[in-house]
Amino acid sequence: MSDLKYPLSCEQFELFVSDYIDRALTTSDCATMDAHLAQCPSCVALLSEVRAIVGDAAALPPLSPSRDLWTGIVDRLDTPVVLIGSPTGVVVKRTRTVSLRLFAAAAVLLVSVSSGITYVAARGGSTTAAPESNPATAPAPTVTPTIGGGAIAPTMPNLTTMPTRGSQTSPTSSGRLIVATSSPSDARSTARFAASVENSTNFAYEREITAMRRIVDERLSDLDSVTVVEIERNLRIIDRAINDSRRALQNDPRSRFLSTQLDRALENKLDIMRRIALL
Amino acid sequence: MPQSTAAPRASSILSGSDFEMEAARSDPWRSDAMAAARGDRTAFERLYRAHTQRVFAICMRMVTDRSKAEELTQDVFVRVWQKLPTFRGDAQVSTWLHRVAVNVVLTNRKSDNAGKNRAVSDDEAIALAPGRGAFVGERLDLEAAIAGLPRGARQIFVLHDVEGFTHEEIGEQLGISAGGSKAQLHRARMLLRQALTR
Repeated sequence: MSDLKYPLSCEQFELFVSDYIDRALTTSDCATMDAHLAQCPSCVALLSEVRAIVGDAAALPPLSPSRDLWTGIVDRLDTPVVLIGSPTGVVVKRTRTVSLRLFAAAAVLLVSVSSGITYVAARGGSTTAAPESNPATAPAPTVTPTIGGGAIAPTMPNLTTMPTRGSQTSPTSSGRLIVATSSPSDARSTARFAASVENSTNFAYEREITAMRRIVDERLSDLDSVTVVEIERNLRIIDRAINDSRRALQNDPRSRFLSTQLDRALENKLDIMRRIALL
Repeated sequence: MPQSTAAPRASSILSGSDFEMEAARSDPWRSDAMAAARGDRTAFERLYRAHTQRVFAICMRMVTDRSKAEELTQDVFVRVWQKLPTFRGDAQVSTWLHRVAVNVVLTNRKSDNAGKNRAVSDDEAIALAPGRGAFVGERLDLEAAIAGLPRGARQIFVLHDVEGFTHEEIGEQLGISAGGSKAQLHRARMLLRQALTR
């Protein structure tokens, strides 16, 4: 930069005093500033005051919170991400931020998909696996949650637009066992096995959801009432989606598709609760 | 267990030079960070005890509300716990931790209710800031004057002059240009001078 021409006015000096202190001026500009300083006591005072502020700021001491925050932190560490069937137990959490709008969109998606699944499952009876490739044939959603009064998702979403799991290991991809069978007795024992896996999965999710709920309730008490109402409403919508998926799964316990849907719904609920805890 | 809790100023090791890599390798907190990443809560508590004051100071100076700053400090350490497995160790733990703290505060800023945290005009800021003599100590004077700055100028002042981030780093974190950061910093310094020399 070579904007500065001698002689400088005091206004010009003030304009560039930060750059002067931070050594962000060229040599010639610095020389022009120095020349002004040599003949202007008020700008010498200005420079000295600003330098003092910068020096004091760099030397500001650490501050102490009014209480020990560790307990509150540990409480939140005590609700780890439960990874079902993972061989390593390592979970990479997503860092994407989710707004209330996205909460609502996720809820709509879940309800829509669950409604479609329930419909297909009820119609198909004991069909082993619902087709994953043609979800657009499912009926239109009956619930349309909104934020601020506006409809968010008036159309039936296609499953190909379901949110991906990103870098997070999902219970389904890491651990669920869905076994194809060839005889009725095999089918019965497989169904029992699938139900048992399902039960333990649900238990693990429920345990974490219960633990998270306590933290979420704590956080909700600090948020404004409009936000709380929206969060609660969307959590209820997701709960409805979870219940729909569970009912469908009861009719067809070996359906990989339904199982995945339930996992997604539970995982979404947990994800939202974790994010609320960090709001 | 390391005794020192002093953290290097951020800009000194953020750019990844050999010197910085060497500094990261000799980091006294590295072993605790690695242990905490494997789930060792005792090691994580040591990290917390050693860094909580600096993290709280960042939060407090950025948001100026003690209770909010305490909440954010907890958020920071929960986030640190979650992110520790991804910490590669190519910066010092304290520097990395401060970056997480700044990110948590700035993320919180974005989700703040605009009405609740409306911008303060320059004139209001000067009027709100205490004049010289309002407090006994010079530093307390400066703390109070910083708290009275408009939010944008305050955050940039804290990040640059207190925490030592560069304008480029600040610009990246705040989504503004380095030039914009410089302009806000100059504004903050002039407002502070005005407030402190009334």
